Amino acid sequence: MASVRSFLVLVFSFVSITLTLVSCSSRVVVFFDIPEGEAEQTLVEFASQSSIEIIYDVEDVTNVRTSRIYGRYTCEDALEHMLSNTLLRITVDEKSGAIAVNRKSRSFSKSL
Amino acid sequence: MSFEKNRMQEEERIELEAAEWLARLDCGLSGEEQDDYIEWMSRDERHRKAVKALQWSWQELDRLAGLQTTLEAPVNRDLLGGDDVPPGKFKGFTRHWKSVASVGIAAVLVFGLLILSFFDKGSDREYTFEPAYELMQRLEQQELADGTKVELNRGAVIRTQFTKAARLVQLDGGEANFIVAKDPDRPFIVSAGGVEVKAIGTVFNVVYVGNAVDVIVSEGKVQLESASAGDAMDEAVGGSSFLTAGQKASVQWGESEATFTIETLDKQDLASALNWQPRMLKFRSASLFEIIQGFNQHNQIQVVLGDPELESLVLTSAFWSDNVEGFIRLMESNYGIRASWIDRHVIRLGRDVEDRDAL
Repeated sequence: MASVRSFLVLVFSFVSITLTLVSCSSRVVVFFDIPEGEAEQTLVEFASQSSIEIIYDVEDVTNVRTSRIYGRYTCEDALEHMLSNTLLRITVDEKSGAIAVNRKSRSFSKSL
Repeated sequence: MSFEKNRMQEEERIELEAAEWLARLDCGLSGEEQDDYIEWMSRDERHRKAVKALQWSWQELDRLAGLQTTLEAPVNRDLLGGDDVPPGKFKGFTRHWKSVASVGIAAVLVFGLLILSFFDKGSDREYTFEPAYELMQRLEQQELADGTKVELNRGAVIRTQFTKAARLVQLDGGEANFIVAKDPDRPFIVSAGGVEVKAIGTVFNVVYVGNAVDVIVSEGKVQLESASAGDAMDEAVGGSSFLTAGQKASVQWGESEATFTIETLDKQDLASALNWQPRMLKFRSASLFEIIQGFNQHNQIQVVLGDPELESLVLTSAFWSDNVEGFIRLMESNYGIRASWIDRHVIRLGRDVEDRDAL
């Protein structure tokens, strides 16, 4: 019985540590100063200021304007704020922290 | 079969084999089995890592259970969870427990593989090669205690020993690039295969593979020393063993003697020699083809496009060159693309069949 308890403790520890590490990497706070503007421009600026890896289809962000962001935020919070009044959404690759930005109603076939 | 699932199956196979080996180790290996074990460990870097990880898990289990590993150590009955475990039974209990854990882990892994293969019937069965997953791993970057930054190419192993008089680093094998923090009072010395590279504040790259060591200096100056190749060094450079920025020294040990050469690299050769180091690849409104070319220039793993229509996909991206895996995962999850291995070192990106059918 003790060994089962120990095993459960170990599994719980593994999960806790893993979750902590994952959340730490995506919760780093960065100072952002990006004015309102065309998403094609502001997302490049976001990548530059955050040093985060990012990818997006140019067609998805054309004619989309993002909100201004100023101050210290986590990368994910900053991007969500910038995209709050748009039809753009983000997908995070949990393993590397890289981000893809695309339209919420996106059809894969459209851009291919 | 999705790219991620393929990888998971491979990792599970290795974990299963590692668990089996540990269970056999626990019961003792015959001479022949020892040879097999050593051969298995040396075949793939991931084998060694899997064994280490499992060993660590078991040590943690032992520690959590309060189990002692020496006969002399007193048994903590409370931690063992009761008074019904006599001290004499302790070692047998540990062994028995590990064996049970081994069988349990193996059973779980086998069950997992069975489930995966059940859901994966009929797909990618024609592939008989083993994809080079290890070449997809991110490159390791370390900051040493003195602030020196080290980039390790895949498979490289270093050990450090810092004292008040010197900063010693042993490169056991592979390739590493050092951006040395300045400290005039403590020389920074990298030892690799009998060659010592001494620096104070500089940037240099060391490759130690087989019986050869290459040193490339990209900034500053280093001093080379080697007891085993000293004569060759004296003969080649007249006793001076300093290497300056843009120079490359190569030491190679033959059966009877060593050879030592120094060459000066032009900018292109220098960049090419250090091409393995991760760098941010930035593309604005570029075709997927161009972006993939960027990754291919910096990695042994090569990505090819299996559908001409994909070339017209125009993207903006900023990615580290060693994050091929993350790039491909996002392409799969966001752009209706499916990745598959077509060779040990080649990944093909094609359109997802389901997405194609939806057209």
